[in-house]
Amino acid sequence: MPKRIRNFVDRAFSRTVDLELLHRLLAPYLRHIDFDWDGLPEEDGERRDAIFDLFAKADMRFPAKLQFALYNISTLSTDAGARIIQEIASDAGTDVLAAFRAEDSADDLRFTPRFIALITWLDHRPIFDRALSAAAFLAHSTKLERDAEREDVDLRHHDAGVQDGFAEAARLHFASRYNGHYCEVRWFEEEDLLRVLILHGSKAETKNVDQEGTEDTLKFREIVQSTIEYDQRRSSIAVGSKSATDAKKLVKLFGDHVLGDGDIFEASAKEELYTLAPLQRRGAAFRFAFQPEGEITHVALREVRVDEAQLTTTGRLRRSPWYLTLGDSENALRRLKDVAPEIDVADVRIVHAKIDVTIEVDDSEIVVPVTIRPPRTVSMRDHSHERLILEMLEDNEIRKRRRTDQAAAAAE
Amino acid sequence: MKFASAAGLIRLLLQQSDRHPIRSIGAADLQPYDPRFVRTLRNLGVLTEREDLRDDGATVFQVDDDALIVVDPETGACEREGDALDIRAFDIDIGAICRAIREQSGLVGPGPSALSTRVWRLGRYVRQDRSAEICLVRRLREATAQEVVDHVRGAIDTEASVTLISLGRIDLPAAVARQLDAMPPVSGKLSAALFFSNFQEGGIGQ
Repeated sequence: MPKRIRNFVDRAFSRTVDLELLHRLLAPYLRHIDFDWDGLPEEDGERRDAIFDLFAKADMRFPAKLQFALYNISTLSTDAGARIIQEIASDAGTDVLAAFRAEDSADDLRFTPRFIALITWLDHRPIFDRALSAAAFLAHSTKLERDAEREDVDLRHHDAGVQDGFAEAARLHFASRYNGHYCEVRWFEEEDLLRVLILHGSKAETKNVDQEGTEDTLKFREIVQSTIEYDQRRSSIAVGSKSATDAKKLVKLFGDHVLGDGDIFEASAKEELYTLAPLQRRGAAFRFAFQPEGEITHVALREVRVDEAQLTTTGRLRRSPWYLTLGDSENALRRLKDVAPEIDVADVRIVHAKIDVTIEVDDSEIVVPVTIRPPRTVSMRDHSHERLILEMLEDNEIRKRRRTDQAAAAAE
Repeated sequence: MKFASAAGLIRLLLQQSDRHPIRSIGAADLQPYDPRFVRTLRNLGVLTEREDLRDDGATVFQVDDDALIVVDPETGACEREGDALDIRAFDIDIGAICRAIREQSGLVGPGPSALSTRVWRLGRYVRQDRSAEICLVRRLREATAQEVVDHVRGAIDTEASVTLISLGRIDLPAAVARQLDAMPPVSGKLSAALFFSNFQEGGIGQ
């Protein structure tokens, strides 16, 4: 069963989905999926059971357009997706839930992320499409990060031909690498961030599928999303892509076309962007510092991995034949000291640290797990609060200050 | 062909044995030294070769025509090194080092035996009318010195002096130092002077 449909095989969904909305979504396809809406049982529970069965038994016979709709709706049916939809709608002066709000109730338990995604897909498609593009920037847990080696560079993406030139170069790259033809580039500007979304083909896949009772082979080339974010304040770039090769190529293309220097990010490819030296220095006594009145309310050091790898005099990493990964609900270094007191944290390498960052959002708290892997990688499943978290890491000297800050500090 | 001094390699082995856990020696670390000397250490069991590492928990290694390919499964990033020295390592056997010191120094009596993960009893050094029990101590630090002294006193039932040989440099705390007897240097007949070249020594009066 395709994943996009599987996401809808969910008791909670079938028990709670607004039937009128679902009817509107399915109406154009009822004949194709052989589903008799008018013949559904009268009783609400039984109706919903029939809907659950519809998705549970669904297969590739679902029309492609319906699969596409379900896939997109499920992509935005998360807390982050709902937040993005509401922010974009609010910018546009629209209340996507206006028609459903009861007059005497500010809060409605029906307004789940899936409900919000469904209503936006049906009634506010432009807002939905913008939210889908924005969500793409949250999709990659790990991004390739680089700093520009100079700050005196201007963005040239408004110059004639620059956007087309970049799009053509990206198209050529993906065409030669994957033999794919589809490549679409979208540009978004937001305060000091320039975001570029590149939709492109990937490696061809072959699946053996059940095609109306007979075995068939399906060959397809999935369209995937790569993202570029350029932070003008820091002259830094972050690229999200399934392939490291593609990410490196996009960095180069962005430098070449938009900043006028294809090698501007080269130097930082070998620099250390993240360090766990403060944890090594202070060991079990290390605590994350954050603003007492800020949005971050707690940071727990959930896991550390140590090994004996070390840089040799030639600059290469001599690999470690062992590693120790230790977890704790609050402070893994303190636990390490208890469990293995003979290990001197300052005398081993901390390979990675996993932290849980608790953030207060709209009177409730969410926990964002973040993995810090020096020298250049930070991963987080939810990038919605990326800036806040990266700034906290900078304050704790784990993320190295960008040149701009260093220059500003030097000027003072 | 000119090779680096063998004493340098012994020093490296002792330094790495003083860390916890005992560090491995990378193939690249051995390159400057005479392969015949490295062979001797392997024959003695001081160095034992590991199989090439297949991964280090974060990245996966492949050797292709002597070149090393490092793959990060999470990002798909690949790096290529001209040789595979980074994933070739030798373990140090501290027991074998103790046996070698005992044999080359002509120590007698019980030993070598591990009194703890940090303290090895090597044997008794006897010269004319003087004798001393020799112990090799890993990670002898200021904070742990008293604990080690107490442990050795409890473990070795002897009237003779005990000499602790630290693998690292240490300034013993005054309280511990007061318990130590001045011992004449034991280097004279100890043919493993090479091993001891980086040692600091102290004797414990019993």
